[in-house]
Amino acid sequence: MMAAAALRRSLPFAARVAGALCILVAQAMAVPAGAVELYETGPAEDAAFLRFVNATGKALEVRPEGSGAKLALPPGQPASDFVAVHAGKALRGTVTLGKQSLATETTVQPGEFATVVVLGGPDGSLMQQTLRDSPDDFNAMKVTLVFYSLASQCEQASVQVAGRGIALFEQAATAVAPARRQVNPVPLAVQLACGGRPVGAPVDIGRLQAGGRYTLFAVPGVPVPVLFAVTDVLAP
Amino acid sequence: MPASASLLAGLSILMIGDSHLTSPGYLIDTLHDDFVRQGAVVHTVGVCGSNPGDWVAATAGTCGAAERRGNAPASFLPSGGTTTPITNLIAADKPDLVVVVMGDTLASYDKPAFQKAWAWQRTSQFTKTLAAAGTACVWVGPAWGTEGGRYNKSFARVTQVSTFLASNVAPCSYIDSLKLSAQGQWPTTDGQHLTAPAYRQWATAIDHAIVALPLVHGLAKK
Repeated sequence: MMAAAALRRSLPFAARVAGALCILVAQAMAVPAGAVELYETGPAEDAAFLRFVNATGKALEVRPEGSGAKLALPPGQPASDFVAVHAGKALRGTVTLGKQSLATETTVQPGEFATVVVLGGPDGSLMQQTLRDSPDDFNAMKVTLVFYSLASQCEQASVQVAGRGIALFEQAATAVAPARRQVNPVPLAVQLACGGRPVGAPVDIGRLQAGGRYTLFAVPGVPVPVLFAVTDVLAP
Repeated sequence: MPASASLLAGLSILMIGDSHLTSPGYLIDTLHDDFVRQGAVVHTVGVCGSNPGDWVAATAGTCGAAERRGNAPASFLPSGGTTTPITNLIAADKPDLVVVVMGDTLASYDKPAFQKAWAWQRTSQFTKTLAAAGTACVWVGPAWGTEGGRYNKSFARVTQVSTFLASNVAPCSYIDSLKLSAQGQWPTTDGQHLTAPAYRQWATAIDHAIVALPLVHGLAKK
């Protein structure tokens, strides 16, 4: 307001009129009469998300490069939230377990939900596997289950409803491609089977929430592969 | 006024949304008036360009805002504006029913593809907040509009968005505006925003759809 008043005082009348007309013309050109000012109806590219999952059974830390922050993944809380990240940009960090460390680098594409799974190798070393999912089945009334079979010792891995022998996922190949299905929001306990035979203890996921997304991981274990479930959560 | 108009009598309605609520003659006038005429206590807040996630925390708008209470005239802010978190609005109004009018701002009309992961992120953040509040809600999806225009709207993309919303706005009941008119039946000024007579028609159709919902019958004051 003060600047405008000073401008009015310093300019001749004709110049002030010309300036006002320019402003009016510019406004008229920018927004047609009665129209809403133009706005975006979405971002330039789709969202991208990254999370880490600790499949080692021991306490793990992840430190993003260039940040003093650290992400703790204790055995009781093996999955981080999915964090929104810049698509197409390499994200680097260090994974630490005790005295061992592992460099990690992931580039997430638009629309992707990427998961870096940290596993214990057969020789005790740390390994990582990056899983990429581009879901197209969002549904707030159903439950989405995704299964990754990452245990090479579990051939023809399948997941059944515990105690009922009903197959949820049948004979998944050992691969990083997700197997997925939608189910109703009910209480669920699941059982891993290898070659048609139940392996390990049932995993009680509890009551599935409508709209919820859950991931099941079959990972190498001693003496048998291990199945565990995590709830897919978006960071606020 | 529909025959079942008395269903809304005495109900407190909070209506929030995007640019369809931020200019004179838009739904902040037409639909708001319909609710008031039926005896509802209505509070409408619109922020132009806002998407559902923008109502989880206060977020600056870019192209205007408006607010209206009851029979009072709406106050319009021609630019800027900020959302009020839905939890704050619900805590203040204690509404019986929340009406959400959003969809076009999730459509990415000028992009080659519908940004589904982003749309899901923005929508699910908001619906989780609504679910936690436990308030009954109705979600009004986008209308056909007309193809092209300043936003490059297309019938194909608005169909994608509406289909997405239909399965992702729970716990809200979804009103599919695409079923309320034929393609291009309601003229627009820019492809996306309707003419004043068309906003009148859209409001009437929404009103009829709302009072037909079992949810609303359950809320009706005895």
